[in-house]
Amino acid sequence: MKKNFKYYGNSFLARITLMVMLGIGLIAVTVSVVVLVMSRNAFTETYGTSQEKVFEQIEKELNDFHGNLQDVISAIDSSWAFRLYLNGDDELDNVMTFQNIYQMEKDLEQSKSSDMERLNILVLGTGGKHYLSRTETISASDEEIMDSEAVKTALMEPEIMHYTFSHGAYTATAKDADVVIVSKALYFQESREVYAVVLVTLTMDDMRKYYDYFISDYTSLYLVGKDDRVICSDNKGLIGSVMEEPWYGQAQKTEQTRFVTKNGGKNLTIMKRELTYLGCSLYGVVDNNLALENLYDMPLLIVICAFIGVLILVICLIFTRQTTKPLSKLVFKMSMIREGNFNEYMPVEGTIEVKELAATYNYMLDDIRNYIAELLETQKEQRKSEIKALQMQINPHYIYNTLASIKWLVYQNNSEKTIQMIDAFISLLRNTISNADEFITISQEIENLQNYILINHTRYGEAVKVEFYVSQSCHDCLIPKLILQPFIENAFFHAFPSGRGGSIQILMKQRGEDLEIRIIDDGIGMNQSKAEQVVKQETKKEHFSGIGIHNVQDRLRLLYGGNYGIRIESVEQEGTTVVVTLPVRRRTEDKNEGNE
Amino acid sequence: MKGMNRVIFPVLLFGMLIIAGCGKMEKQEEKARDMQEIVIWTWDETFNVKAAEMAAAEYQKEHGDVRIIVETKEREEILADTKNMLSAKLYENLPDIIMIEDYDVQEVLSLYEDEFVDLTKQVDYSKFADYKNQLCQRNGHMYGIPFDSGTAALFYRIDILKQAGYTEEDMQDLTWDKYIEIGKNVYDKTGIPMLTLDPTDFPLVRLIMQSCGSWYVKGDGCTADIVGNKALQQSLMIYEQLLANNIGISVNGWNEFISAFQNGEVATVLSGGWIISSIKANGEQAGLWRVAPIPVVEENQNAVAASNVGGSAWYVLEHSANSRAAAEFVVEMFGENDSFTDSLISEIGIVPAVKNPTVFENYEAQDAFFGGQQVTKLLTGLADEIPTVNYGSKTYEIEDILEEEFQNVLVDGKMEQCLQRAQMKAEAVVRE
Repeated sequence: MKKNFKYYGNSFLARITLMVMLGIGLIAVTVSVVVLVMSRNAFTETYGTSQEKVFEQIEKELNDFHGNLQDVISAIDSSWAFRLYLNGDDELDNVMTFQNIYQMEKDLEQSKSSDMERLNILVLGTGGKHYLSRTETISASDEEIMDSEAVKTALMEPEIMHYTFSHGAYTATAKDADVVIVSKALYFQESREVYAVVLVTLTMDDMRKYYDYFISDYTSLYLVGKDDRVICSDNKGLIGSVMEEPWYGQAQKTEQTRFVTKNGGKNLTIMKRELTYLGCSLYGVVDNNLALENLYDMPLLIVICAFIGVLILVICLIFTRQTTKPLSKLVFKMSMIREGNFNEYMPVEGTIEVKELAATYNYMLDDIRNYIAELLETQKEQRKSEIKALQMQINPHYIYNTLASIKWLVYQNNSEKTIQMIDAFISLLRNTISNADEFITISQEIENLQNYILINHTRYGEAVKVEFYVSQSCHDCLIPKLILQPFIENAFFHAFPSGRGGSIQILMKQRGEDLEIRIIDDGIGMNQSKAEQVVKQETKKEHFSGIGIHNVQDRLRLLYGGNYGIRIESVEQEGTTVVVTLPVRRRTEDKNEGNE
Repeated sequence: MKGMNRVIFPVLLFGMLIIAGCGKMEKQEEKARDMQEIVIWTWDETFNVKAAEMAAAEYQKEHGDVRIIVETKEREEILADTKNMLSAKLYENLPDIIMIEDYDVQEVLSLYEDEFVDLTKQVDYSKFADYKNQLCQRNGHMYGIPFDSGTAALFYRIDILKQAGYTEEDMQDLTWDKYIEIGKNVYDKTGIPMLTLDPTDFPLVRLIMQSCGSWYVKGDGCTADIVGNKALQQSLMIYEQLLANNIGISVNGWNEFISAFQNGEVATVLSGGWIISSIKANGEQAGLWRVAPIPVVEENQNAVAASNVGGSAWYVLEHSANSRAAAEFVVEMFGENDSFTDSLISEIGIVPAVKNPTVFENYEAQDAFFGGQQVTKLLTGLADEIPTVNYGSKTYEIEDILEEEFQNVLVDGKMEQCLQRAQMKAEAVVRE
């Protein structure tokens, strides 16, 4: 298994991760954008509506406030004490004045509503009398007061109350402050002669309490007079100046009391009310973008999205990993099949699909194993019958030549030797052709070999001696039939050419679990490479049977596996040694072998 | 699934911690950016406001990181706003330092003791007059820094009195009978009344009462003392006489009280030492004024020629934006800085509420405005003789009742019944 990046990049897990990430990203972005856009619109609408309610509350408060002020002013106007003080003072003695002043205080006290406790009321009589409701001093002279815009407008229209912005008012505490001055002239009904002016000074802080709950970082309020001048606002920079904002112009033209507009890149909701009693207009401005910014904490939104994304990814990975784990295992097992290992079965677990896959795989593996076993069996059988056929093929030349040798012995009248020869031949043929067993004991094999050697000695003379050295325990060991004959044959005809004498020694002994058979000759030998070729090559010579050296090796491998076989060591002019290694098998085991 | 839970929960928890952590960090940063801005609320432009502005200017020289804003407000407004906002805990609209008049202090402290910075350990109180310390403390803790003493004196226009044939000697060791007699003559000869009387404010009643060692309440501070209060009765009778004989002219409100003497419409002013700055505001009258101890009530054996009107102290609000910096400021300027107090004596004529005024360089200074009199020495000398009274916490509430009943006295002349009604109402007010 190659564990490199490309492998993982192409893996199931990586693809799923990628898809999940893409999916989450896509969903997060689309949903966020859609929700943001939708809620932005909805918010602008609902927030505008709710702010309008607040705005209406301010309108009501201001109207109430106006009503209260009106009560105070009309209380002053209708108070006999004030009228006496401001107009007919000369007729009063000191004690009466003392009482009168107290009465003024009481009259005013009664008319004030509770939220106007510390109202700054200055009453200026045309006769030069002052009344100031607070414990402080008047810092402006009478002329300055009479010259002020608030007084002038009041004198021009004495019937109504006027709201004027002023930087600096008449008393010590409001000397340098931005204030709203409410002015109203008091006059006699019939003659319409003005006898006093009431000036109520309200600092911006005083005003603020009427609209404070509307104000935030993204909302502001403007009270604008008839001359388009801002009388009062939380936007300190604009107080006292003429309104020039584009939205203001728009608000003038439209009939709507609430509308949304773009103003210098800002998305504003404008609310508008005419305060007819006050003679002013009230404007509420909401910066929707800022309000939204406040509403949506973008970094938090992103963090949450990312966090949930990672969470889903992790869960996905865990699930996917669990699902694909059996698949990876399957892949691993399948790659082992390629190496010839058919024993790796899959545990059947996981999801239904994977279970099915594993079961099918195991079933297939079973089939393959069966087929292979069958195939091997068939091949074995085939080989067996091939060998059988081969060992049946006694070379006719061998028979002719042997019979010719026997005829020659009969001519010589060597009847004893003739009988010996014929017995050996009969025994050899019987053991080779008639005996159907594939395995024979070493004793039987030696008997065959001795018959074969006897025939050879008779035919070719006794120049080559053959000696057997068999350890006692080996006699009943089973070996495949005719496994040694080809080597002896080979030694007779190739190791001792042209009547050369010598000896062949056959050594059989048990070494551990193995049976080792050595066939050693002191013939002419050959070089090692030729020796190895001999084992493989089929030679069409006068063999005794169809079994030659070349298929001994095959037979042994087929019967006993790769650990067994033959080995030839040869040195030129010194001789050749053939070593045959077989497992030790005896008669009882042979039966088991046959049953297998 | 069990295995998976083990993975998911720590991950979730970790994520939440990160989110929570982010939020906290932002908030901390915001606080660090705050500037040291100290806001002071006080009243009286020529006196308290000026003193605060002088202190601010001097303090800012050495403390560049501090900005001090002095806001002029009405005395009642400061009290009402402070009480309202403290009860609603709207700290962001409150200043750091407020001035409270001595009459109101105990009421405020009894309601909102925890809202003021405890200065007990930061200030050496032993140098301040004992009666002042008594006013700033509650349950053994000191909350304010005494400012001016409010020692009362008789300020008079020597030029007007001379027109009626009186000299400076005539104005010493006065009794009220003598004062009324002089007043009658002055009004007859010049048409100018002696002083102003406001039907809605009775500082003169308080002045006379304290000079006799009594108050609207008894020594415990919570028992109304109206009916049996001789000094009160005597002071109201003096009031009646002053009014009836045109010696005390009726005015309305603070503005007319101030403008009356500034415009030369009255011959004398009977008030606390803090009025000096307002008197001096009209430079044209320089040299025309003199100071003398107040008249005594002859019929009252407790009466002395010394009393107190007003007087106030600085208080630092515990939960204001820059409470610590504000406390450092008042302690440094008003609690420990003798040379600054010295400059206040010369600039606004403050009568410092200390035990030993001789430490000040300007203690013996001669004031040309008052014809070269040693005003500070005179007033601080008088301060030692002021009878100590317990103001209780309802001074102005009881006075409102008295003002109302006094109107009835003027109508039917039945002082006894009026005082009895006032006693009843006052008992209802002082009950705690």
